[in-house]
Amino acid sequence: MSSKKWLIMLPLCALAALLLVGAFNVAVDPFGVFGDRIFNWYGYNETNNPRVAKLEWLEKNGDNYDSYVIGSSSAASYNTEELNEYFDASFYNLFVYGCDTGDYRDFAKYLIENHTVKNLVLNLGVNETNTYDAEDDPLKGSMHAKADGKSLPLFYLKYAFLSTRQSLDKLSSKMKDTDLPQRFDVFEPLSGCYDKRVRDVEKIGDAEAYQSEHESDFNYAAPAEQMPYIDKCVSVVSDIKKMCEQNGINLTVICSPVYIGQWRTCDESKMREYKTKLAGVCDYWDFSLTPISYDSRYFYDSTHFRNDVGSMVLARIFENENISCPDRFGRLVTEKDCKSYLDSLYRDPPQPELSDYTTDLPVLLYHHISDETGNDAVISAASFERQMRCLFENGYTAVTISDIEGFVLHGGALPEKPVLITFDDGYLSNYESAFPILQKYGLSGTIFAIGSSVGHTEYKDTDIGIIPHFDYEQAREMEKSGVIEIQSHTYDMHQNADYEKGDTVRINAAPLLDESEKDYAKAFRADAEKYNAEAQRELGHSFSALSFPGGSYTEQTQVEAKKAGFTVTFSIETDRRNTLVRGLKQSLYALCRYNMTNDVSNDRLLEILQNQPT
Amino acid sequence: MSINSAAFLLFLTVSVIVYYAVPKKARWLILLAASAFFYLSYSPRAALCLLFTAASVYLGALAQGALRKRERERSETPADKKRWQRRRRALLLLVLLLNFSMLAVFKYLSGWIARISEPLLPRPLILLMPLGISFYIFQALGYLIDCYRGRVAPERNFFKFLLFVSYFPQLVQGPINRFEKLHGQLIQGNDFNADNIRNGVWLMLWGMLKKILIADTLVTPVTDVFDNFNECGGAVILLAVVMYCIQLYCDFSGGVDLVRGASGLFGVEMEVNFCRPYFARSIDEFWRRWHMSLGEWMKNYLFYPLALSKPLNRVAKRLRRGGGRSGRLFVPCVSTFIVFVVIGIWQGPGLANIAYGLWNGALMSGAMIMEPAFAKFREKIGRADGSFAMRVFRTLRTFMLVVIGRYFSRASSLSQSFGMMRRTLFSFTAGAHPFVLGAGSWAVVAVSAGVLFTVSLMQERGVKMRERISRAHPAFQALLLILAMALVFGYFTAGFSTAAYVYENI
Repeated sequence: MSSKKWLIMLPLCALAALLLVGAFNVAVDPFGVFGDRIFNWYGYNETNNPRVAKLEWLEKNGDNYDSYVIGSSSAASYNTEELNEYFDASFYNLFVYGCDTGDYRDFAKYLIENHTVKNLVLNLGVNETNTYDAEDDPLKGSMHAKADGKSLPLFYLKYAFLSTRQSLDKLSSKMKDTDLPQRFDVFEPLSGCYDKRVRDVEKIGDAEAYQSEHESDFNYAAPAEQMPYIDKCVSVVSDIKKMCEQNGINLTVICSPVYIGQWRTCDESKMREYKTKLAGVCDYWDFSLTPISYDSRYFYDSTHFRNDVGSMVLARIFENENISCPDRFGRLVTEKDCKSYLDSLYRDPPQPELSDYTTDLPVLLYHHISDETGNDAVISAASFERQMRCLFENGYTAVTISDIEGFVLHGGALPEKPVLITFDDGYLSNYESAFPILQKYGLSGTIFAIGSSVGHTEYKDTDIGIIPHFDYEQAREMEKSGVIEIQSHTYDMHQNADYEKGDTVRINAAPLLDESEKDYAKAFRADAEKYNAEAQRELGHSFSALSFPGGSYTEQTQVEAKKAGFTVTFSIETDRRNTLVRGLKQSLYALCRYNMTNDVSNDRLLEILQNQPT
Repeated sequence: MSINSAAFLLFLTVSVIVYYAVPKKARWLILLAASAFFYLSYSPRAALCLLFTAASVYLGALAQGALRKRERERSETPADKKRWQRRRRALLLLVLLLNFSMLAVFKYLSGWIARISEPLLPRPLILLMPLGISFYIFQALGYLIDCYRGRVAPERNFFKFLLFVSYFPQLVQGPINRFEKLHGQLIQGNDFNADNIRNGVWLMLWGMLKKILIADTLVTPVTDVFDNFNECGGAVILLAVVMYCIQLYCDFSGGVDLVRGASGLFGVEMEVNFCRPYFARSIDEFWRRWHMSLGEWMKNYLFYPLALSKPLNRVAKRLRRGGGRSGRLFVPCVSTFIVFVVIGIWQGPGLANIAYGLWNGALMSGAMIMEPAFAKFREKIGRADGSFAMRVFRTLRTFMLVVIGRYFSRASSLSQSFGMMRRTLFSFTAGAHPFVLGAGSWAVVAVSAGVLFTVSLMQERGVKMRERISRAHPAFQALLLILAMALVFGYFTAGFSTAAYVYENI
């Protein structure tokens, strides 16, 4: 081909290449700007740019919602299901990461102009006064042109002709995607919230352990300039308030919980200025500095409070007595009482005592009771009785699952020296020996029975003899006495590999090797549903506690257990204290237990009861 | 504006169109304006440094011309002549000193200046390396030395000279052009030639793809290993150093291909800088294929002056009296050694860079000293010497010597270099590796490197790729062009940032 012809071909090829790039990007649509028809993966798109992808989600699904949360990532922890109940509405959490109040106004305006809006919840943290109209990453931080009024064609061109690397990243992420959240997929598209399933089941232990595990998350670096955008922020709130008034929308403004590390970097006069000016514009619920601010366990990191705290905030606003909130936890601030409120906050900060809201809980673990001692899972009746007497004589009170649930979830009290006595597997010996001994000393216990072996003396579906297990009648008798509570050790996820005929053997409730997250979730759910139905039938209640067979579990096991309705779970780890923290559901997860044998002397038992990690 | 960006492509396209649209006589002014725009868009402050070099060398060269004229007209005795020569020499040294001092300040003293100024000034004085400073200084000083030697006549028009120093394609990382080859092409106003465009575009695409597909993708794994070498097995470290060799070649030669291609669009042919260096069969050959324009410069302006210098020759003379080869080898060995130490120092501050220079200097001088032994060996193996196996062996051996050198040039300190070598030698395990690159990225590197290797092999065998492509079926050419451009556009659009060129801040 002659060079001249080639020269004519050059711009045509360039055009073709551009179109190719554009077509690829539009098809893969890593920002969800073009409807994401192939993948429909808004969890990913929103992680890339929540401002753009969430708005596109609403363009498609806006009819399903009539109320919205607006704010930065500190607004992520308001659960939309709870909001729906409290407000009798359908909420979408339109929070975005990278705080910028200018965006809040744009969003409010966009929502009012394009969707039905009954309620708006506007959440304000401290950072709202630190940034305004910040230099945005043009792809990941920019606002949707439909909301900020910039040129729509240019907006679409930008996302059509972005680097193919963005699209390739989406493809490769798709291959790595799993059910649980990953770095590239942190949103729940339906609610708009973060998918915090994993962080909401992590162990939190005692305050020190948590702090040291998350040290870098809590090193809050204050911005160089203190709260320079107070006026901007307040004027945005004022604008949004006006818009709401004009359109008959119910506006709730919340100043969200602030971690003490961040609070202490804020200058008092600036903070007073902010709160006072805000009160001049509208009444607001202030949760900034409350007793929970002082404990990092209530936070994911120094600028994000936990989902459980979000529930507490809403419970406080809507006076839901069923959820535990500390005293001095949030109040409605008006222009009139703002000054006196701030005076009291600074004069007498609401710093709590640890004992006000936490307690240590030792948990003892027994299995079979028999004089034929064989292994660590067997204890003689005499030793058992000696240990129970020791508890009794030293003033320990045995508590039940509902006692500890009550303490953490509903603000109930626990006795001064609580202990939880548990039995795994559901042996007949528990009924014959342990039950009367507990009764004798006025103690109580929880038995985690394996569903498939209740009432069995032979391994299920075989004639292989096993240690006899009590039946439902005996179970009912024990429960009726108020001494024993029956809970779950799974229906059939504690199999014996030697006796099973099939290919898949579940010796415990952790995922099998190479099992997909989806398959595992299905298997776990099926087991829990089956057992709960049986318990409902036989015992008249379903289960709220689960002891992991063999103590084995993974992050996903706990996630699934939570989903299946288990509020308390037990491991057999002994490496940390069980510390129950009011309001934090996860302080009831994977509780440590000490395995009790004949060898445990009274002195050792008392040591264990001090709840020292070994 | 990075040269690896859509903005640069747009700027270049507009410049080329305007260049050919204006009358021939004014075309050099377009190049000058484009260069000014390009450099000012980087940093107006850095442009001051460039202006200083251009002005000092311009004046220095004019003065050389004037002094030379006087020397011719006014010297009557050899003593007169000598006096004039001394003056010219002093003037030359002054301008060299001024410019090398400026280079040294930015290159070696900026950290020190920042530390000193921190307590004294409200903000520490941070001197950022002006883009391409060592390249344009070398190029301008080469011209000055040529003027001193009387090889070229000084350019009288400052702006024309400024264009020679600031011609934008060469600014980022060379090549270092010679005045006599480049200047005329810049000034004369070239005619439009479709061949130039075709060749230029292919070369640019080739360079950009080398950079974005291979070099940029390898940055992360290489950095991960160099930064965490203590946790890596020796085999992983060796692999990372080999990958760094590939990264550096694709980065540097890719960048040079891009700017040579861009320059070709204006009909200006710049110096060739690379000739498939990893196919070299000896270190000597490697250095004739790698960063060739620097090698040329060093040869002309450092090696020869050293080799002809009186002190070295005096020692050589004395050695020669003792007989043997030492007298003959002394001057070339020492001069070569010094050249490579200078190249090492030029790479940047720190002992590791000096060690890099020493390593190469030692290899080169060592090869000269060992030559009789090598010759004997060649004689011994006879015909096998030219065999394929021997050629492959030599290529691999040379590559390994280069790889060893890269332990020095990439490491941030000498102790790191030795630490990595120690692990390579004494804990040669595949062990833990910190690579987090996805399978897709590895595949991109593997396929691209495969293509690069095949093309290089064909070029080694004398195939002229661009000619061959131009003979291919038009549909094939179009497809290839679309593919290459789609890859480039796919990377150059929003949401992409290229890694800076390794040699950009040198």
